[in-house]
This record gives sequence, structure tokens and C-alpha cells, in this order.
Amino acid sequence: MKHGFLDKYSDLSSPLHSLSATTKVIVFLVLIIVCVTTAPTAYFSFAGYLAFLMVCLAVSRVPVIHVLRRSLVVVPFLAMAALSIPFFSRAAEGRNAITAAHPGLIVFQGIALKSFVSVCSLILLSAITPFPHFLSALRKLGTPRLLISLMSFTYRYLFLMVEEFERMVRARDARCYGGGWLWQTKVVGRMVGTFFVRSYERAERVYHAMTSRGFDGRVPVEDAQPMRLKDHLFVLPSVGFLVGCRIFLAPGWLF
Amino acid sequence: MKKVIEIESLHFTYPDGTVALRGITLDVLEGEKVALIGPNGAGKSTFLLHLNGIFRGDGSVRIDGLPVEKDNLKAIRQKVGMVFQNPDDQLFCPTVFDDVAFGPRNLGLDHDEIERRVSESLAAVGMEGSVKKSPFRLSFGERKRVAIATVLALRPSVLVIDEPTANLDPRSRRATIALLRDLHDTQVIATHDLALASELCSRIILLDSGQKVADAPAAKILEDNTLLQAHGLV
Repeated sequence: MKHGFLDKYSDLSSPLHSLSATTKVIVFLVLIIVCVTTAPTAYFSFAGYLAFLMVCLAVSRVPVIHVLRRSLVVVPFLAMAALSIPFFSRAAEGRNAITAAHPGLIVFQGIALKSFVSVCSLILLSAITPFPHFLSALRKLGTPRLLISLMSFTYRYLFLMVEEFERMVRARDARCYGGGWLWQTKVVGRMVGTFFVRSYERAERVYHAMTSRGFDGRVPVEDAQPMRLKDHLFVLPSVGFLVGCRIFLAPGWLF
Repeated sequence: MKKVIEIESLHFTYPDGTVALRGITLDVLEGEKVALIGPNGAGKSTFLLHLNGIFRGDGSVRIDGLPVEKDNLKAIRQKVGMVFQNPDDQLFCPTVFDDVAFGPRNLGLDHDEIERRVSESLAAVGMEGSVKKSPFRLSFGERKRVAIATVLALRPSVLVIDEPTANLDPRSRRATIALLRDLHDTQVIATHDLALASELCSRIILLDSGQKVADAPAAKILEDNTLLQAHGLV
């Protein structure tokens, strides 16, 4: 199997890995919420968030390069956001006391910082939490069962589907695939169609196998690990620090 | 001897009009290991799906004397342990533990009993070391074993297995046959593997075009080369 697992490195052992998944979900959720509500020019707040992330990263022993490489997924979205810069009106200028830059640039910089911090948080979270634990933590925090089931199935069958598609691609290439682009798009279209039908049939077989074992519409999830003393010792200072960064290091209380 | 499975003139037609079963009547006694053989498209898998009410055709199907009807489905599915051909269809949970615990959880058993059944079932198939792994990190042969464990955890009265040796390498195939020999008394095994049928089963039922063509002691059917040839099995 060539493709990496979603929760690569989640089986390392470190103080962070040993915490309950619920703890980690809470802390990183708080980080993302305070981050996206911070004003784009509150550089000290962002520095605080990044410092927090870097400390966690160092403690977790997850390679920095892993997080950086995966954080590249935000680039296409940032490019889309960048396209919109010229369309911000200059009329909003001067509203911000710190800088007189083009308002579009300020918005863009906000989007860039926030998406980078948020995505890095998620990558780090997935690298220190095995996915099944992540799901039971979400369940404990009140996520609807249907969403949990969807995520659980996606995690289970994603690799299988990637492999199946790879097999199709290999079988196609083995028969001297080539020709003009019109022909190629036609072939790809048919492959996607076939893939859809196969997935649909697989879903039916999986459902049969589930009902054979008494499935009644609810996917049972294992109980989340309980939060112990060390979890509270991590949650309280972390949340305090992050909220502190949000409130005291930003210019102005709110946006 | 007690009848575990009783089927009377079972007919089934798919929604697209394909006639799959044309009047099948048979019994399986407690403790019997029965092989269900037949060419591709004979109706073997369709037939198996009737045993726990996933498909419901015309005719009567009884498990342990209990008719397969809407109200009995939960009890029926506990009694009939159905192992599907492709373990990837059967194993859908993030960990092996969750998958084996899926059936017992659906039965509403308490936590200790669930853990007991999981470790007992995994031990029975020799996979006790994989409790925490994800199914997709196991080899095909291992997934097949775990798939068997997932239904053992229901403590069924009959084990129904679709193609247990398909796609296995010779060593895993041998291991699976040995496993099935040691496991559980009553088994219905759909297979193309005649060697498996002769080694494991006392009785063979030959299905073709949705009909029961022959039903006799294994040795007798396996000797009848003309019969096997006529139905594309040798």
C-alpha cells in the first residue's frame, strides 16, 4: 500500500500521545476557535498560537516536515482567496489603526494565517490521536451518531477505494492507454462511472453483512477513554494560554 | 436428529426478472457439515442470503424451527452466522475489536460479556494478537479469519460460509480448512473447492440454474464424474 495513513505517527509514544483523545480534541478545538475569531492584524496572538503548536509538536516527537508537507493542502484554497484581493474596496481603508495596507491584503493575510494555524492543528491532532479514539471522543462531546458513522466508514473504506482505483488505472495503462485528450476524458469518465457502480454494489454487500450481524441502524462506538488528572493538567493551562493570547495580545477586544 | 435448517419449495426472482431459485427443498441436520457446490451463477449466494432473511423469496425457511419472518429476524440472525466471500465487505470498523464486538453490541450484551466473546472468538481463529489493529492492515488471509470471528461472537447455531478458500494461497487455504474442521458443528459451505468439500463435508448439495440437482453423501457425488462434468465442476 503506497498511500500514507490518515493517522500516521499516532502510534508513537509521548506525553501528548498518552493523553485522552477527548482532552486533545477539546484543546485543539479551542485553538481553532480562538484562532479564527482573532483579528487579522493581531500578530502577537498568532505568534502565541504558533508557539503553542510548536511546543506541542516538539513534545509529541512528530516530525516537523510531516506537518509542513501536509499543511500544503491549504495552498489551492489560498490561491482562490488571493484572486479576490483586488475586489475589496478601498473605502474600508483607515478602519484599521495599525496598518494602512490594502484592505484586500489584510483579509488575505488573515485567511492565510488562520487557515495555516487551523490546518496545522488538525494535522498535529491526527498525528497524536488514533482515528478510532478520535471518533469516540467526538461521540463523547456530543457529535451526532450519523456523522460519526460516516467518518468511520470513510476511514475504513478510503484506502480500499484508493486501491481499487489504482488497480483500474494500472489495468488501463497496461493496455497501452493513449490517444487524444477527447478520448482520454471519455475513458476517465467511464472509469469514474464504473467506480461509482462498484462502490454502490460494495455498499450493498457491506450492508448485507452488517444486517447479518443484527445491525439496526446504530453503529456502536467504543467508549472514550476517561479524562484523568494529567488530562485536566493539560486542558486548563492550554485553554487559559490560548484564550489569554486571544484576549490580551490582540489590539482591541474583539475583531 | 434435530433439523437446524428446513427449507420448502423456495423460489426467488430478482427485481430485474432474473429467476435465481426455482423451488429448492432441503433440510440440514444438527452437526452436519454440508457443502453447496455449483457453477457460477447457479444461485448459491442467493440461496445463502435466504438463510438469514436478507432475501425473502416464496416458500418456507425455518431455522431451529423458527420461521424466517420479519418479527424473528433478530433471533434468526443470531442463530445463522453468515460469513461473506469478501472480508472487506464484512469488516467495516476502525479496529478488529470493534468489528468482532459489532454483533454482540447489537445483541445488547454488557461490556464484560462483549470482551469475553471478542477474545474467545479471536482465539478460536488464532487472531488474538490483532485486537487493536485496523482490518486494512491485515493480510487477506487474516481478514478472512477475523471475518469468521465476527460471526462466532454471535454464538450461532449454524455457520454459513460463502467461498471460504477463494483467493487464498495454499498455506492459508490449508489453515482455513483446518480451522473449519475444528470449528462449530453445523456448517453450510458454498464452494468451488471440491477438495475442501471432500475433506470437510459429509454431504454435498449440487445446485445449478436455481435447482437442487443432487443431494447425497460427499463421496458418492465426488465419484460421479459425469454429473460433475455436466455441471461444469471438473
